[in-house]
Amino acid sequence: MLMPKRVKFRKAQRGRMKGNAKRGSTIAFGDFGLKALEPAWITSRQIEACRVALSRKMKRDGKIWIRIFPDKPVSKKPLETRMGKGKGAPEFWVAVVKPGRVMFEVSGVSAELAAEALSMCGHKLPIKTKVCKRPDYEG
Amino acid sequence: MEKVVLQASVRTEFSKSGRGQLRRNGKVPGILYAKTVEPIPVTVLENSINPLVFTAESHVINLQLDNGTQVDCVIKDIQFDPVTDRVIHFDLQGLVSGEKLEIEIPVVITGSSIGVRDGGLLQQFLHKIKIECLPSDIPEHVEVDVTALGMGHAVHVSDLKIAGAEILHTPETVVVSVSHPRSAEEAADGEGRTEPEVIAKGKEKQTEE
Repeated sequence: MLMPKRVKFRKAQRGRMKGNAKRGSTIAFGDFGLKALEPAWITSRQIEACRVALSRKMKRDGKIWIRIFPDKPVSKKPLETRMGKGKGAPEFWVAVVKPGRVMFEVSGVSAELAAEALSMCGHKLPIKTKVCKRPDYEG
Repeated sequence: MEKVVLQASVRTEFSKSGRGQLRRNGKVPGILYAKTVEPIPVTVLENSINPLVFTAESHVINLQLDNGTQVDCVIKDIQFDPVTDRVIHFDLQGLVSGEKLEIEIPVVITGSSIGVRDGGLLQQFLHKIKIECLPSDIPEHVEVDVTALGMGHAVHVSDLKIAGAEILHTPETVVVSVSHPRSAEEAADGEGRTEPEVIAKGKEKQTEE
């Protein structure tokens, strides 16, 4: 699963997810993409599930780009622990996604297959998504 | 290259709320600028600008303003809404005859590559190519024939020839290539790691040493 190799700090504050994506909202590499319509923390497990779903649906044909990276650690306190005694241990990694962010891109497959694979990929995520294509794409 | 007529009106509303109102009424605000004239804020119907944006062709636009002015121009920049992907603003650059301009031309791939028939993967790295040319020499698109492209081969910018235009990319830039297909499912980065290494702070590093 995706996670940073080195970090400056083991634990991070939660932050806020106000507004839309300011960058990464256009298709940059492939022909089709999956765009987030809601803000969310996307975990590395969810990203991996999406990658596997895309890869299986496309039968290893075409190319996949993952445009998000889980660089935010989420900590959790152990069960049945009293409050206090400091912040919990890092549990998993998430990518902060805002509406408009293109999370996955594909190319080298037909428009129908790409749309099917990306919508399947969208079902692995906890947010509403939509399939989009490059503005100048003409099948 | 054929000219496309685009009807526009001069915009008098400059506030954020005014622009929002325009968009809700199916119009798109834009700006027209040229070397010789002052910038003119304009408004066009969304239905009339969309065919010029969502296409793999470049066009010379004959902009007809409601005050009777006609200007030949090209689309220089487009802003999209990050969520809905609708056009929210556009820049038009007026053409001055005899003066060169920089413009991005779509790359259109033609033919069926030999490498793809052998199981390779055709990858397009450059979807638009930046050129400098006279307004009369603007091509609609650049065609790249990939029929003879074998596995592991690529078409570079240096292989392209556009009459009357200078390509502004470096000659080694890859336009399209046929690469080997993925042999096995790519292992995700960071497999087996549980926790990343923490970068030691400067002071701590010095004390450790």
